[in-house]
Amino acid sequence: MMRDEPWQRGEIPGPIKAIVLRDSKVIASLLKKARRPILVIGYMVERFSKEGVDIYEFIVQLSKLIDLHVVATGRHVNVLRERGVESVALIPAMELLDRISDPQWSGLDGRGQYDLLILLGFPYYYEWLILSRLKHYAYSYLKTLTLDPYYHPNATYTLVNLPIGAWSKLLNSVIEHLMGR
Amino acid sequence: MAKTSIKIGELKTDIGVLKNLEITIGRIVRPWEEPEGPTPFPTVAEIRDWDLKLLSRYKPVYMPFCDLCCLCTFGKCDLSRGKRGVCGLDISAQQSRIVLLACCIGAATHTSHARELVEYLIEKYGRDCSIDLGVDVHVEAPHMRLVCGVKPRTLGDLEEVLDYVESQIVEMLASTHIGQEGDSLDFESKVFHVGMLDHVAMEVADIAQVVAMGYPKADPEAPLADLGLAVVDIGKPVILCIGHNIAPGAEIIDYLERSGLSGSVEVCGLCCTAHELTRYTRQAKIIGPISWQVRFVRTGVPDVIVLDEQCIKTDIAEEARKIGAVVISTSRKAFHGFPDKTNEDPDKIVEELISGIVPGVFISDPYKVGEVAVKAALKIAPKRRKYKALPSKEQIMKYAEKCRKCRECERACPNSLPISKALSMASKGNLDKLAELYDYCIACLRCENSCPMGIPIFSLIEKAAERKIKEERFKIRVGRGPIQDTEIREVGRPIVLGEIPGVIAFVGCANYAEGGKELVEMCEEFLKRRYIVVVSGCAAMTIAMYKNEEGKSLYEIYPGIFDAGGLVNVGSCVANAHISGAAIKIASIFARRKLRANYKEIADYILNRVGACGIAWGAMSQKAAAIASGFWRLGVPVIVGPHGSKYRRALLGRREREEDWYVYDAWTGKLAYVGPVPEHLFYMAETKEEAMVMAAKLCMRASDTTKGRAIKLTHYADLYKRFFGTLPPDLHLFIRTVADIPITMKDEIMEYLKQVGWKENPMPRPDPTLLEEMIRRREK
Repeated sequence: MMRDEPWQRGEIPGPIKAIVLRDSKVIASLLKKARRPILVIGYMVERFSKEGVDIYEFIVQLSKLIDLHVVATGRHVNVLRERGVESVALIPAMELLDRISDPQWSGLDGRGQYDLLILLGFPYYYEWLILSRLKHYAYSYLKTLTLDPYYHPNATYTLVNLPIGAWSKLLNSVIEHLMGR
Repeated sequence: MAKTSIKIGELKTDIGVLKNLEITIGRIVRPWEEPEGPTPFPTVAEIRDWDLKLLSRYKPVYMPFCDLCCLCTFGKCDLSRGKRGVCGLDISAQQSRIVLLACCIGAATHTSHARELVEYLIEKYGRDCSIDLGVDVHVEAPHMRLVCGVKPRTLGDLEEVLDYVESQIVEMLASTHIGQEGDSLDFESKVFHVGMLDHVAMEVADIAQVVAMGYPKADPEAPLADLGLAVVDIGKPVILCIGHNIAPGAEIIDYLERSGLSGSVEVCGLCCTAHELTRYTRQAKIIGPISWQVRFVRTGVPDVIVLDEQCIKTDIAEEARKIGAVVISTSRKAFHGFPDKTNEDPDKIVEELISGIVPGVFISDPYKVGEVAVKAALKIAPKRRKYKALPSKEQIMKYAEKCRKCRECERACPNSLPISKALSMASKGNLDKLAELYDYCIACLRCENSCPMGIPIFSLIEKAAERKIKEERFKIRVGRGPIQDTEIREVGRPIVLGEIPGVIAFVGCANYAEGGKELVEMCEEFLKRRYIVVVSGCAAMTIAMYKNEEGKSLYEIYPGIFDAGGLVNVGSCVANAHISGAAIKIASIFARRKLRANYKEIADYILNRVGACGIAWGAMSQKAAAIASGFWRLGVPVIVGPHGSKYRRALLGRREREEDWYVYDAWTGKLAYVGPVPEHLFYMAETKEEAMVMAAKLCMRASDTTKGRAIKLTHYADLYKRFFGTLPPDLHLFIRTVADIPITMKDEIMEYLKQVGWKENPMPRPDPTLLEEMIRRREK
């Protein structure tokens, strides 16, 4: 299962494919190097949470360790607020996609476009298409990183398909590296 | 208006004798009090300027489904990141080209369906069969009037309309050929054109069957019908009709009546044919929407399966073979590999089917299908009793033990359902997780096709959910067809002024990401809030499939009237034309705008005044794409569920681009800012909460009165707050004056408005239009 091939078998895009990240240190380094990162969280985080991964805690930690904007696309915004991510913005995925693929958009704070979009917790096919748009229309200024436990060919950077336990460990390890441990 | 033919066997004149003289007059314009508008039988060129106005506000946001184009032998061409193919197209144009292709397929399918129906009905009831939809429906064909400038009086009049639609679809399809259209926005304009044609074709199909076949005619009290897997009496022979075309099913019912066999055979339907059967007769039952095909066939209950057209699972004949049922295909569009027995003796065909010489037959004559289906069902049913059972629990455990946990099933599942885990538990005797999957599974069988161990996964899910299946008995209101003129007269004003918060249409297929229950929850929410809720097709069936604590479905709780709090089932897919038709009729009946060949004015009216929004939560087909396109051109926004993102592009407005939200005030010609209403034209929601909030927002219109806007804002803000905990961050954009603010939230909203620096709009309620030609006088 730990292979760099689309999680949903039919979702094969074309010639441009993602760079696979297997090392948590590299992921942490990528997150640290980003000048203006934005983390966008879909409702599937609820499903991960039910499967025993404390994904909310990962998001809380990440938002403390990295200077990034956090966006939730649905009802899970309430959990994130409860867990202390006070700055989380609620923006539907399609509306955000439209803006983030517009080089003229000035971002949530009016300071300009982002350079790294981190995605987490969307239905596979839905995220696949979001990443497809960004791959074709925003590639000149935006890199994309998906932290879902799947290989996403349309991202700039992706993980491989991972069992939930291995994925959880990897995310924890990213946090450890960001903490400098 | 009709084609008229004169045939003369022999005519003696001074100059000679003419034999077998035949004269056909193409078109007779019958008198009609309404003057003809500017665009009768329009080509795409004549409405293009309207399309481009819409597309300048609602820009396509493409999400390429593939980086490549593989439509010609120059290719495959890599279109990624700005590259162009050999033909010159870039990836935006390629996406819109594929959307156009999909819509052409969808519209061609409805049109072909309409053509077959009209031919069948003319043969059966005559070309002069009157278009009479009852005393309460005078604007009988809003689309035909609006688009073609035609007021049909008889079935024969519908042929000319179909001639026009067919020729236009061919033209649009031709524009997708290599070396034709090159601009993405012009492809989009053609998508709109095909959508408009699609609604005309659907209207032809539904009107024809309503008037000729005695369906309910705009009846808000159309009867309730039985729906569900458990409504079928398995003690009787069972005929299952799948598809959309009523002709074979109607002939089965008629044959049963002619033969005195009514009541001795169960006739049930799946997908839209089921709607049509219950509109035709009280004897028929509905099994369920499209995704119930395999569910029902795997129960082993159907003895004879009659396939007509559209949305049929094309391997259903294989499924039928496994349960020993026989299949009759009836449409030239779908032979399914069966021999053509149209001209053979019915008894001989029955013998061949029963003896297993052939697993199925093709019969194009619906009349003969009626006889063969009934006779075959009566003969084969006693021999098939052993098939009418699901696997035992022991068999499930045995199969589940074979699972290697490779998760190929989950990777194949459109919704990535946790099948491996459920199988693991089943192997230990616990079927609970498998049974849970039943509510979310769309029975596509991709899991089974991918399983290296050949486990019949769906059958196991179905068996685990056997108790649920036995309780699948629901009530649905039979499709009523059009909306009455009198109903439009009652609600036109409150809709246009905003006092009825909106019309929400739940339409489309059953490709749900999180099960059908979400659709029911959304529907109930808007009914409780006293929106007008209109439903059709598979969505209308799904909505019936849940009961409240008293055991009642929404159809038993809410009335079938087109009014606030009404739940209106118009019928099958082709009845969707009555939903868009209702919006057109508001312009005609309430606002007295002229319909005849006056498309742009009416679309402009609907966009700016009629607070309506479609939700196609499980849309999956090309037909659904065409239907949505027809709504867009009329200015009605459509929301789809997450799987709808695979339609490749959204049509999104940008609320912060102030310049996009100006209209003309038709009284003065001055430009007036009206805010982002409606904000989007085609939107893919990720969750039901997002869809509900968005639908409430998309019902706002420039013409809303302050009272109406306050009502709409109440629902928008209340839903947003309930789901997301705060006031909507864009609320100020929809408040034009203090009088728009909902009284119940006034303090909170005033505080919010202070924070965002809101100012009153100096021109809050213009007479809104995007069309310069609608300006009555220009002020300097």
